[in-house]
Amino acid sequence: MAATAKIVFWVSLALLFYVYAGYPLLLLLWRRLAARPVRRAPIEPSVTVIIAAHNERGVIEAKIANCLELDYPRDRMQIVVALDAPTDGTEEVVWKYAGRTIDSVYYAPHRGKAGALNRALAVADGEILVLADARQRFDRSAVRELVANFDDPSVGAVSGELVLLDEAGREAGGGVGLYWRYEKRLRALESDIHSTLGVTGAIYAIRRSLFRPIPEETILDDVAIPMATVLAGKRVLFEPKARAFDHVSATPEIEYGRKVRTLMGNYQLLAMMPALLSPRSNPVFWQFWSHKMGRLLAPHLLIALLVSNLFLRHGVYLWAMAAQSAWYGLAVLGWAATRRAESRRVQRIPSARMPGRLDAAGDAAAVNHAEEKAA
Amino acid sequence: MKKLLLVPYTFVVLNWAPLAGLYYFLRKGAGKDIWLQYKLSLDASRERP
Repeated sequence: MAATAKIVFWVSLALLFYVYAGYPLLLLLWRRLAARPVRRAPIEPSVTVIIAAHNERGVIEAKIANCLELDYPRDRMQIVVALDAPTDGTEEVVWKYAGRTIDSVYYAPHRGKAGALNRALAVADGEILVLADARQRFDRSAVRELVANFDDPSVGAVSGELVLLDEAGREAGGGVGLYWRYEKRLRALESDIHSTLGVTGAIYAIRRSLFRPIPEETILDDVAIPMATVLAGKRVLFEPKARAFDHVSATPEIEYGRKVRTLMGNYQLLAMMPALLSPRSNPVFWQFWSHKMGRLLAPHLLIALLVSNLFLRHGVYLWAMAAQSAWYGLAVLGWAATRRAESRRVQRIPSARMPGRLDAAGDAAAVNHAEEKAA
Repeated sequence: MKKLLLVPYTFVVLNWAPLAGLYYFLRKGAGKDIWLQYKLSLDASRERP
């Protein structure tokens, strides 16, 4: 029993180390030895910005205004709002602009973002599609920075960078902010070698010729679309100069909800594109297994590490048990601290300024504050 | 101090998410027929000029 426990313990530990530390180190080395440069140029192809919107009455006008302020020739840019059966009057706001400055597609019943993107494609006439959500605000040069990469014919899609802001308008710190920065670093390294494995749904661009409609039930359009691009033999880049800003209630609980959906989407992606698992069809096979599959395996490995450690109580294993106990103990304290801070905030903040109910003006002010700081 | 405590908490919570994701994926049947739907949409887009 002890021999089996030892094997399980060391294999789990080695795989966990590889997933979280070994793989990033491997990417650093890989990039040093075999980075693939990208040819960028200040080109101005025709662009269609597609905004998928369901119930976005509070933010859609600010988003349209934001798109109209972008540093890109207006006669080279079409804006399409895909109205996914809104019930809060979003369409009334959008139709004020229809025909003059933007095109809109309305359909019912509610089908979700994938359906919205598929339908918007019918009216999109740009060579490059820039896909966006309604809530996040683009940096003024975001489209120009995305598009510059398409001068390289090997590039099929480009992801921008989503900057998460806290309530004070600063880049989010703490556990979630740290995790997000780690993820973005991985994406940048993967992009330098070949392709990033997912894009930021709030800001990414793809050649129209490569965009294929995806099933409406697709949970992660921002992984399915770039992965289809990679399988088609093109690169998917991460462009940190193309930035969008979003507010995040940077609590682990909210991030957990988002993460559950993301990982559910990853399982769906495997069912949808089994070719991703094969080295013959997926040029970023190793990265896919190390990054995406590694994350799916990680909780099982953590459980295996803890359970196997229960059978091993001597020497180095005793220290390992102490370290694991301390780690999970600190996690419990972190949970308690978050709960306490949350209950204090609920008592202090008037209901009109509660997180999640920030109005568009408040959002815009905070984003402006962040942009000024960044400048 | 609180920020320091948030690191292990976030790590544990986010590592629990793949298990919850698998549970919801299996329970909601999000993978049902998705491969066929994807293949059909690909075939349809190839037929279009």
